Amino acid sequence: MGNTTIRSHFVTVGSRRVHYRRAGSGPPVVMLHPSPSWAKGIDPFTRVFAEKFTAIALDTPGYGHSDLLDIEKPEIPDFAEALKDTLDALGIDKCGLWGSHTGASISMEFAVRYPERITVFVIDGYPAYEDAYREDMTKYYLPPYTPKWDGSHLMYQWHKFREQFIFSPTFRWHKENRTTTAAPPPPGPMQDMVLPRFITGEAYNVGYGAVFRYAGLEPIAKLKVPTCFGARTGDSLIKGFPLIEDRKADGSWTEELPRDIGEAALRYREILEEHPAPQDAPLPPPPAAIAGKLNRSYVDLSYGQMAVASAGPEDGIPLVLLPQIPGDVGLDAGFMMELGKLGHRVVALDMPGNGDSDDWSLPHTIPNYAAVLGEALDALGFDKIDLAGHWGGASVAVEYVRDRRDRVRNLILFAPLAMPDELRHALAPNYAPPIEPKWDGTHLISLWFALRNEQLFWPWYNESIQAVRKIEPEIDPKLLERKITGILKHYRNYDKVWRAVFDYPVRDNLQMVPVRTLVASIEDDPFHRFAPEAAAMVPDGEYQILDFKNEAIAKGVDAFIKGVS
Amino acid sequence: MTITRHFVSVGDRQVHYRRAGDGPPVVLLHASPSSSWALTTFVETFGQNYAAIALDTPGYGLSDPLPVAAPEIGDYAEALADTLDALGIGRCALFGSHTGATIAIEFARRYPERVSVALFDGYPAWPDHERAEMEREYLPPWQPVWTGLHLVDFWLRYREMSIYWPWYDRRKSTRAAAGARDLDMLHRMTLAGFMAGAGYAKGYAAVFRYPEIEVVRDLQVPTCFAGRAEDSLNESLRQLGALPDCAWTETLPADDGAAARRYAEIIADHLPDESASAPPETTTAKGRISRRFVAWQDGEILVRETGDPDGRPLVILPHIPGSSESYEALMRAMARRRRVIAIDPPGNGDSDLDRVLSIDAQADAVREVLAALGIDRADIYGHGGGGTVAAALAQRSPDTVGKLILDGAVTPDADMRETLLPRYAAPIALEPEGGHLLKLWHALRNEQLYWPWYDESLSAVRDIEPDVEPVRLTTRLIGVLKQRANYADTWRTLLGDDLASRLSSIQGPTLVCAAENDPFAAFREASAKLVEGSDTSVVPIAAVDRAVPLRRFLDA
Repeated sequence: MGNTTIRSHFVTVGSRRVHYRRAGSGPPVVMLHPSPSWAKGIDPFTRVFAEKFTAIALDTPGYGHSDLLDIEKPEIPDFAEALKDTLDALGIDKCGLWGSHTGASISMEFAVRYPERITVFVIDGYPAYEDAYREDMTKYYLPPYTPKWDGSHLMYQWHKFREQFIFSPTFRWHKENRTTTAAPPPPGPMQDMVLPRFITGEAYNVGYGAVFRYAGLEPIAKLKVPTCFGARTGDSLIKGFPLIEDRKADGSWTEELPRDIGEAALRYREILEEHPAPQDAPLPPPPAAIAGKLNRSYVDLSYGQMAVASAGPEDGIPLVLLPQIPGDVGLDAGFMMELGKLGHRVVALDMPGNGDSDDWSLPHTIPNYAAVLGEALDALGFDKIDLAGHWGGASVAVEYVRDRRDRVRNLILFAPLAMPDELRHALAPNYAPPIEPKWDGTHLISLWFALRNEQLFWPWYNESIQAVRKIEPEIDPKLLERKITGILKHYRNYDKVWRAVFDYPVRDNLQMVPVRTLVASIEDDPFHRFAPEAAAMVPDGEYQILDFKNEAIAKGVDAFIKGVS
Repeated sequence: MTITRHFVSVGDRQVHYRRAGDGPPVVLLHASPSSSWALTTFVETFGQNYAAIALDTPGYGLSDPLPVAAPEIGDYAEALADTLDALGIGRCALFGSHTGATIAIEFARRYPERVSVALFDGYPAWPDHERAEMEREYLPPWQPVWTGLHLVDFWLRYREMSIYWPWYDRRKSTRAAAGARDLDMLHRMTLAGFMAGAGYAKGYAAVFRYPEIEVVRDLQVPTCFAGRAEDSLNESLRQLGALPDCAWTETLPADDGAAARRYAEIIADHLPDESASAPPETTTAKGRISRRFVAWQDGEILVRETGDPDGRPLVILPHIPGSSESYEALMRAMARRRRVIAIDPPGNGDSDLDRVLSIDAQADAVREVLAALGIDRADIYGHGGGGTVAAALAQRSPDTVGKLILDGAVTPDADMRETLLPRYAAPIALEPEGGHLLKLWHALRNEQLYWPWYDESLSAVRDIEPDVEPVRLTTRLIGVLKQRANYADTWRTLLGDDLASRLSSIQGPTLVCAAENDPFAAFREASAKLVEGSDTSVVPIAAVDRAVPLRRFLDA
């Protein structure tokens, strides 16, 4: 039995970043997910394959955390070439190949182009479409994904996903189009399945669209490797089996598998085991930096993986940035790039159960976060740092720095939640109600407006005239989209993490901060009002009001750090 | 103060209005895209001393649209003149809110002798470039879609208007100095918008094309330009510049009641020298569906009518909760040689009632309406929950019922009714982000897709040709929303009713039928067995086709 803990990695392929999930050891099996999902969506297969193989599930270009191809309208052959480049970068000469839906189309084109690189080809649902159907789908199925001011694009995606379990194709509402083999999943799991659509965002129909433009019936006869055209009960693509049977090459066959993922995965693995790749998969190569992009990686800690984003040079004293919690580094990317340009090494960390970091079983508390921050710094080999935190991230920074003046040189707090106890206790039960997915998707619209209201009212849930915030609002749909996506990655923790933030008495601890500290805020930040007082509480604290522009914030931080170095 | 509702025929059009009180006429015109419903407080206040008459502008509320693709404010003003003629009003005090104020000023300009005083509660006035921008940006088209998001979009847009004005321009300087709208008010506004449907933008668009600032100088009648605290149009009064001697501005409180009292004072100083006559009788027009309200002990009941006034009457009782508006196609298809009448039972559709009556009481109300219409005996067609009311009518007043048709009757047995009762219909609780609209939309849509609708497992999939067409579904949803407070209780009443025992007491000729896609279709045969000597059949889904077997049964 191999180690079936799945770990995330990044690999650099030319100037593209490719993200993948890897587990196990032994000969490689490379796996491609359906659209518009991501590698994480096929974890249940990865886990089963990893018991016998090195299972490597890629985020295909544009999906999950992999960059888009640098091609305006990529076609399936472009994705197949990108797969070849990725295998080269991973040092994999030959592998078993598994693909589901869109992943199957990409794999098919790859298998026909590079038969010498695979030992066996296993398909979970092949899009064997006749031309008329492909044209129909191209016309109706993939309206553009455009973030709208009212968040209704999220609801649309929710219902489009749900509608797959009602009609196929989803835009024909007749008896003969009724899906009768699979029921909509319960709302909680459905939220996890819909999430990659939001993460992929405007690129969601790039790969999807390519599938419908791909004449997928033609390559079926050209296959030279053993190929299982599998599909699980309930998969709408089973209806393509007769088209495949008419065309299949020697060594190919169709096979209906159980609906249950565990059972199906075991059968797929059996087939893969008949044709293992001759060599074991090499170790994951470290990702190379890409000019103009944040570097992304993970650090393995005792609880799981912590997501790391960095910018600027790869040496020097790092500025470690803790983004808002709940949330992720997405909102700070622009600021990090600017600070990198000024010559600072910036490294952002997502706390456990936030952003792209794994969840953990410990309670979400600020002291627990501070402890794991210490472990992460050790693992990263950072002896001396400057430390920065935003909102709840600032609370973690304060808690950590209290007795680590040996490690922290300067502290930067962006809009710390340094409010009086009375207000803290008043906000705590109201600020972040739990996110409870509803079958009709209305939890998304509630969350969207809660986040939007942070700009419009103080506190956001009080909509009276006295609570109106007369500011230049930051309610651009793309910004809100980044914020909501960051939260939905661990939606089950949303209320718990906010509760941890409100339970932590930042003010009491500010007085114990033993290092030089900058408290900075922008005027329109909902928590701006507490910043000047917070600065006054820190023994060696100063206060700056910053413009809400990434360059301005970076310059302010740069000046402060240079003040001692 | 009791407000009564009426229709008056103006040429080929029907105009709906709310009226309270007697005395000198005060005519009220509402903002877009709402209806006279939004002016309730004003009607009540003015009605204490005057005959307050709040009209639904053509194309809004229950008033028919003007037969013009893009009406201008001048067209609305002429339509107002025609309506006042039809009501026998020569001269009146005229109150207008927003779009209503624009129509009112144009009317006052054209017919100064007919206006004793004009009161503008928010007068739209913008420089030309802003008006062009608003005509372009302010009014996205109304397009029902399968997700139901057209409803939520509309709701959120009207909610946004109390945050930014205009709603699409979101800056510090356009931030409205107002709290969020009261949800019930928002519900009224958006429901009126849903009712106006694709035409919701017409009144607005006319305003955006109207030279509001220039026309002010033509005023000859006493005119109060009032601005209300927290009103989006408060600022626009500054655009007006110098007013003619007969006009003045006032700032009034945000509260409707307080503002209405001030307006009533102004009216008292400028009374028209006439009294409003009683509301004229509603007339029917051949070949059209006309509507009227029939007074009843507990309010008013909406009645639709078409066909041959001398023909044998057929009464359609719509599915409850719901409205007879969804049955207009069936009415037309049944109209040949028949007098076809559709009734919204009290507490449903446009028959307002603040509670849910028992099925027996609803049946009794229907009988009273028939008596008021001079009908002793009629064939009755009841659909879904309307079938339960029809059966109760046959049981309680057998002499009133000729032939009886029960289509898609709600006849699950007691065990099944008990299973359905707690889950079939949750109360419609307004949500700030409009989520209640999506919940209701998908509940209604799911009725076609699953049995029961809330069970989405494979075994609950309905193997039928579903009718989930967005426009029809929207009409159905509007019918439910009109009495949203009664939705859950109406279902409780239906599912608590022992229809089976009613059926076994029915004596006359009865057809028990259902379309394949009807949520309760599966109970058809069992129901038919309960009615001695009844016919039973599956009927087609589309109204025109469904009418064929229904007519055959009635004619036999």
